[in-house]
Amino acid sequence: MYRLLGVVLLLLGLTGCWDRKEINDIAIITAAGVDLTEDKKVELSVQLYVNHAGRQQEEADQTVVQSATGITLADAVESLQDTLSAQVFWGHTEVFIFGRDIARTGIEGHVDYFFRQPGPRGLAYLFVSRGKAKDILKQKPPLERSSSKSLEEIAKAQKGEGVTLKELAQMMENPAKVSIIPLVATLPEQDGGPVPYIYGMGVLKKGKWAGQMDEREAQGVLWLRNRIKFVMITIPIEKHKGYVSLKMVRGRAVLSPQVKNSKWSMQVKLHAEYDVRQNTTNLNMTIPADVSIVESYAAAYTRSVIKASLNKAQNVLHADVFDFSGVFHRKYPQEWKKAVADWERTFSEIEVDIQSTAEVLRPGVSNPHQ
Amino acid sequence: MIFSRSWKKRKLRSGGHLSSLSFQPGSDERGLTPLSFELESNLHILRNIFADCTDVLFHDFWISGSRRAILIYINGTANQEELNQQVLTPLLEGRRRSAGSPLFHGIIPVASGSEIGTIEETVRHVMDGNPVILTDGENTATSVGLTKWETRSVEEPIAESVVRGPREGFVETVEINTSLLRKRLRTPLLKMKSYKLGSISHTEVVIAYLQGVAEKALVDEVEKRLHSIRIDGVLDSGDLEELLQDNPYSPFPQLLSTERPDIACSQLLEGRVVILVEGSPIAVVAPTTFYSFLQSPEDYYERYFFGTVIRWLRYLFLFIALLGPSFYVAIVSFHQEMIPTALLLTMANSRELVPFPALLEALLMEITFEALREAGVRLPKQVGAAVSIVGALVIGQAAIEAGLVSSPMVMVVAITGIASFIIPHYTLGVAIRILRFPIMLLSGIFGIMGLMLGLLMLLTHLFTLRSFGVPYLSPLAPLNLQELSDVMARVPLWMTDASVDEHRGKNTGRDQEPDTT
Repeated sequence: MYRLLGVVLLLLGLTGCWDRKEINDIAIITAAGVDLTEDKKVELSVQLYVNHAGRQQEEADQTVVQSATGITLADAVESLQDTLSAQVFWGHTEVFIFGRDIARTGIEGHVDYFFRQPGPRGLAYLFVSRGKAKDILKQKPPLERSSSKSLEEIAKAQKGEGVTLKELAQMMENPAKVSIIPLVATLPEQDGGPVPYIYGMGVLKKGKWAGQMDEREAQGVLWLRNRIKFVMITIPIEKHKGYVSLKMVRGRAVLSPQVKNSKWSMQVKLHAEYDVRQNTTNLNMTIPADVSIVESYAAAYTRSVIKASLNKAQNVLHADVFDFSGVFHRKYPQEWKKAVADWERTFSEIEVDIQSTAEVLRPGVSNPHQ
Repeated sequence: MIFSRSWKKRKLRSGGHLSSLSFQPGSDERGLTPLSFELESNLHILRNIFADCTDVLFHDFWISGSRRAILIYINGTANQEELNQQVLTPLLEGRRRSAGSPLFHGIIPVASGSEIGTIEETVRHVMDGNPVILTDGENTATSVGLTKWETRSVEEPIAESVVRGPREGFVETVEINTSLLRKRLRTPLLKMKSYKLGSISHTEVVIAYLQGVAEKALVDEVEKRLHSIRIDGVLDSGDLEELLQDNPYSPFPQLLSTERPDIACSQLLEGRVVILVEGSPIAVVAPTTFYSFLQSPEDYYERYFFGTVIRWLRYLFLFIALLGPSFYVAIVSFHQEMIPTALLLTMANSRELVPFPALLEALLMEITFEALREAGVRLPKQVGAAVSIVGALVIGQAAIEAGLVSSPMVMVVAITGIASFIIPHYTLGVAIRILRFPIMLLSGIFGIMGLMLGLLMLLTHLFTLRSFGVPYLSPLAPLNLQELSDVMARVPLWMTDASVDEHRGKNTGRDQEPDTT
């Protein structure tokens, strides 16, 4: 028994520490950007964390951007690795950015590299940049460690626009083959240099760039996907000479699909609850009648947002960004199966009936206009 | 019998052959030598036995000036003042008496004493510290109960101190220890059986139990194991603990050792057997479970909210004490993706200049820490503080500044050190301290998988372990939900059910006196 134990202990030593990698031996990638070069190759840019222990410069940058090109993404990673002394480590990459150029040629083949291996996190955020992804990575927003951290926080904290690697994988598996990815733009003229921000939404059909939706249209998409979060809307009320700003507390959309005589239609019931944040009109928020005027304006505003969004999706992009396909699939599986082959056409012809209601929960306490 | 299920009698390499001192020819059928009527011949034998024992004094005197007698005692153990007053004075000045023992004629006013008839008994009594009087013309001797061994006064227990609770601790004298138990449990049901163990040392061992509460089979098993022990000397209850435990190869203590009479009494009330050893201020309790080592008497003396929270804290820190450095090593060298990004970046910064791999760094620090602690224990108290300051503060700080170790590692080692002190019973703390190292090695080789592997092996061992036949991890395994509540929380006394303990013979609660009939 003890001899056996001894043999087992010796065997433990034989394996060595083959999987071991010290923190000093890994190159921590905080963000990765994928661009298309002029000769149609893939350019991978990574934002690497830099250690400053033992070095003197206190104000040095915490991240650097390095690039490498290759025929495929994996090839680019390989040539990047050749230039690095430490092992590429994907475990802490929180942001992936694709340049719009490479999105036009399709990202499906590239994201395969990220999906296939266990390294990259499924909860990392994905973006499409208006210009080159590399330029976004190079920006240094003054508030955060790096541009990637800044983007991650924006995607995480705000209006529910963020799309993770996992969600992208789900959208790409969808029969409608439409994915939405937040679009990153650069705000150039700032005190601390250019900063990235999210402007609208990129729409991909079968992994290829199909077009973009502006902020208002993107809000409609979030509404119908039931992902709308704390948005602030400012509504002009001409009759009462001013504006009312409302912060959304809750928003819910109920989609009821209907197929009748091969006519596809969708009834959408929207309900939103708001807090009043600012009021420059002459309405008195302590009078219920006045509050209901604001409520009806808010409902109409939501309706117009959805209309604009639907118009862009059905008539311009012909892309089912709302995942109507899934909604119909659940209620009418038989009809859906027949229609799914030509879903783009079916989607564009769906009649949508919008019923919007709004409710002001907290009108506030001050009333300066009386 | 569940109590004896897992214990095998072990042969001892030492002892045994020294078990009997043989004396002279002329022994009776029991192998004993009777005292002779002639004082000279008795004296000859005894002087031979006590040759070169300068501390054994032979005092020659004449009873009432007419009859020769010898007083034999050990210098320093007999109460010399009383010996002079109560024994010698009445004998020297007393009226002439006819033949017969002086004691039985009521001349010597002492509380205890006895008549002895053999050389062996005489030797035994002298060695126990009782002065023995041999009289010419009599074949019996008188042993006078005037022993006075040096004893330490009852002091506050050092290793198991409490903020709230009794301040009394056991001392090295078994009589004082039994009196401390009796003081708390004033019932004739508290039984104390005395044995002599050790072929040379003849150490007194007392087993105490509550009749009707402790199972008879358990008491029998304890006695059986004690009887089977062949050893030359028992110097501390630790010697006994090692011979009584079920699994001699386990790093875990299988008998609870305590220097607190209140713990011993609470264990008695739970139907366990307490073993006291002459010369040892530590009592051992059988059987015991793993969780007993994680409980402090203070849990019960303080309010139960506090007791419960402290218990949880102990469980948490038990894991930290066992796995702290292993977890750190595994994560740092294998699973960087498990660390939150911001923390990883900080750690990467602090590890940048460290020349060793994390495993080596951890081993280095842990071994240093263990050495430091050991040094602190052995050193005189005045120097101890200096060592801990130099060791912990100066060396730690210098090591970080020199870049030999990273500061997170120092923190991990420090927390682990504190964690191992939070275990109320020192013996379990030692086991945990040692087991930390193999698990650390496993985690250094296999990462979290190695850590789990080590933990599984440890658990498997703990599941098989028994203390006097009682599963070590009970009431968790085998599961007993009712008893488990006292492990998970400190249940208020008014909520505790009367009969929950498996080891109790009868359904007697702590709050009711067992029948005296």
